[in-house]
Amino acid sequence: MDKDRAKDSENPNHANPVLTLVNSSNDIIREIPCATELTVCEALRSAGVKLRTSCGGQGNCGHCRILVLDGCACAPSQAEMSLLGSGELERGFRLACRLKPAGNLKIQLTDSINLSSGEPYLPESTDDDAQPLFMPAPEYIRPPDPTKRYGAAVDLGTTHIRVSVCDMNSRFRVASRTIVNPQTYYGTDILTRIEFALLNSENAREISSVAAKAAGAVLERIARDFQFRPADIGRVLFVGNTAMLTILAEKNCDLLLDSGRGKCEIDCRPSNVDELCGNLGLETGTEIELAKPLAGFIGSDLLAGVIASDLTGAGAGSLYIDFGTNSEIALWDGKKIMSASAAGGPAFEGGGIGCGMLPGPGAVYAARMTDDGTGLICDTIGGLEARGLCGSAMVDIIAELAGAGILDDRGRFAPGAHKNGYHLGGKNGGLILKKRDVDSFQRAKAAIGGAVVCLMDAAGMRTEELKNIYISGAFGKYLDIENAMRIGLLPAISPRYIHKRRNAALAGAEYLLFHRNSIEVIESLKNRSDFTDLSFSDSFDKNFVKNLFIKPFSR
Amino acid sequence: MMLEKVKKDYLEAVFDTDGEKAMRVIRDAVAGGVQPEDIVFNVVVPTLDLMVKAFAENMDANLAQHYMTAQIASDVTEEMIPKFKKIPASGGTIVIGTAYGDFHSLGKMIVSGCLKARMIKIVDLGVNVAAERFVSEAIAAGAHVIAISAMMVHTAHGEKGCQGVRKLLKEKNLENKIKIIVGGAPFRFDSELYKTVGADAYADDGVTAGKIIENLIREVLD
Repeated sequence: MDKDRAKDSENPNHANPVLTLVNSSNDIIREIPCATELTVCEALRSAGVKLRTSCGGQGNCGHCRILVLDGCACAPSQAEMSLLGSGELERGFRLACRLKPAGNLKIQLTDSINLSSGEPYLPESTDDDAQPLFMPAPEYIRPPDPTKRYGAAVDLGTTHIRVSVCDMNSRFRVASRTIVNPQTYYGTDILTRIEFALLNSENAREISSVAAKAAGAVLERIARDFQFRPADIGRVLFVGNTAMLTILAEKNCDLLLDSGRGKCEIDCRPSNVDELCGNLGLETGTEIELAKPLAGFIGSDLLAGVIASDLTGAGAGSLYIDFGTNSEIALWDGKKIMSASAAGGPAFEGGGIGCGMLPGPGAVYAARMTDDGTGLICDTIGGLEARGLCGSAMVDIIAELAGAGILDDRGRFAPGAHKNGYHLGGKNGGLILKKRDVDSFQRAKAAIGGAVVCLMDAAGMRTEELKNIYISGAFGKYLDIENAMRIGLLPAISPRYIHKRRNAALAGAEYLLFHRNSIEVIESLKNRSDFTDLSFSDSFDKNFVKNLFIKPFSR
Repeated sequence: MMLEKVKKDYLEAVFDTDGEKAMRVIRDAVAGGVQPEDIVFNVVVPTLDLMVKAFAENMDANLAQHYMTAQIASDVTEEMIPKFKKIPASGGTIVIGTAYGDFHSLGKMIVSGCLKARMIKIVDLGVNVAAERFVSEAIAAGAHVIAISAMMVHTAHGEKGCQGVRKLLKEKNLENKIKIIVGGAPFRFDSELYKTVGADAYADDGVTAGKIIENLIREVLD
């Protein structure tokens, strides 16, 4: 044994490099061997530690940065040089997706999750002032299960997973909680995640289980808080866009990349229900329903939102918009539900915005110009010092700056003080809204506008015939409707007829959870729906550009 | 000289993305005796070149500005061409399309808008174009360049995308006759990607693509 050790010290490169993970106090957490030719990111993953890779490990996002405290690493790659500032590089930051160790390394991680436990505990928020349960008529309510009292409805969003646990006997909601979807660690957009899942079956299993385990952890915490067991949950109903459902089901996500299958229904029944039950922490045999998607990328989350808004009961000319990274839109013309999905990017959820954030403590959610026009007064969630801007704040700020002539309709700052961005104040040097942030928001807005025009055209509907708008999604309760109309985020109709429906998809999922014929409800909605694939629309791009500018909605 | 003033005012209007002002400047110039050919070749095209230079020097133009730059150039050119004394010589032909499996057309729109003034004929193949179609249409049109737009990583890398086109051009011995240019977000993030997928060139944006395509055509014709 001494001979081997001597050999190792003479030829240290013969052994595989070892990655030593330390925490901020320099305590060793783990030692992970890194097989040659693996990046640090890959080596960590095979050891059960998943770093955040918003771009899927392509070297485009910079989120997988780690701190190299000791050891030899090769020279930084081009991607690292462009994504990490020279200050960061000097301090030892590297991108784990680019870094291949040349020898042993001592590293500290900045953002990772443990694949087996889901720790660190992803921030979980409790839904305050949630709306009352939207229930089916009494004759359609499921008879309760005498052996399992509880049921769960889950809205599997691209960025958030929302879970509601209900008492199926007494017919009330026990608790409703939201967590960030850990699949964001595999890619911020669904295409990146689909590509990951398609590489091999281990990947498919891993990315599916990560979401299921996270949802399961929420169920477990609710059960513990309210003193029952996860085994008392007899039914779970999922809604989500098709990508989320196919990834969860570990099946058919390749069909989403196949343009030929766009209009067809994609089978999202779980390929392994027992495995899914296990990941959810529930007993084998628990009833799991993935509400069927509509077509293409448009999933059951849109259908659930349509249910919760009672869109078909609202009269012809009713529009439903679920704002998100992938926004879904449905237009009811009295006969058919015309639907479309528009991928505008994560700007509505604060993604891709320098100082953007999801609604949470310290998030600026509203803003207005001072009377003398010299600055913006910002309201933050919790009244804390401003940490970032969430989507509704972006709407307000863009509207106010445009109104004051500081931003023109193209999205450029007026020459002078604000040329490099608008300073908002707040801690850590202050929040700055840059031109490219406004551009990101413009694009997201344009996607919505473009989609709405295309749907109205397809329905042969004149703008005056638009009577109601139901909105749900990323803006939560904070969206200022007047400002939204000023900048063209929403078509201009009387604010009286614009209704905010928070978490409409989750509310619809709860309805389906309680409904004795949930499958038929979905089927019937699908039969009344038409799906417009905007990729094949000649006019989408023209309508997109028309609505790119900061001014009221135009057609 | 009057043309210099026209150039200056037009450039200012384009920088400001003020389409109405740009059109006014041009119409006044034509009314004042400036030749439509001069407008296109000595005002619009040099302005496009200057915009390319400005973008390269980090002008931080947003999408709306890129689009408007192309739109203004295209609108002015379309108004001038019917007034030309004689049919202008062709600057070459390209086929353009969005890669197989990809459906984004905005980039293509911007490129096309900028090629009009350069008198380059554009055959737009639409979206989701298979490699075979890029090549067969290029041959049929006598195109000098195949321009492929891909906004997503998997369509940029895909076998049926640029890589497929390169393979076919090689097989048919057309590599010296037809050049490939690519564009789209993946190519902006990784400036070496165009080589990996077998393209001859790439552009960071649609306006710049116009200039690079003009240069590529010159290479082919030499």
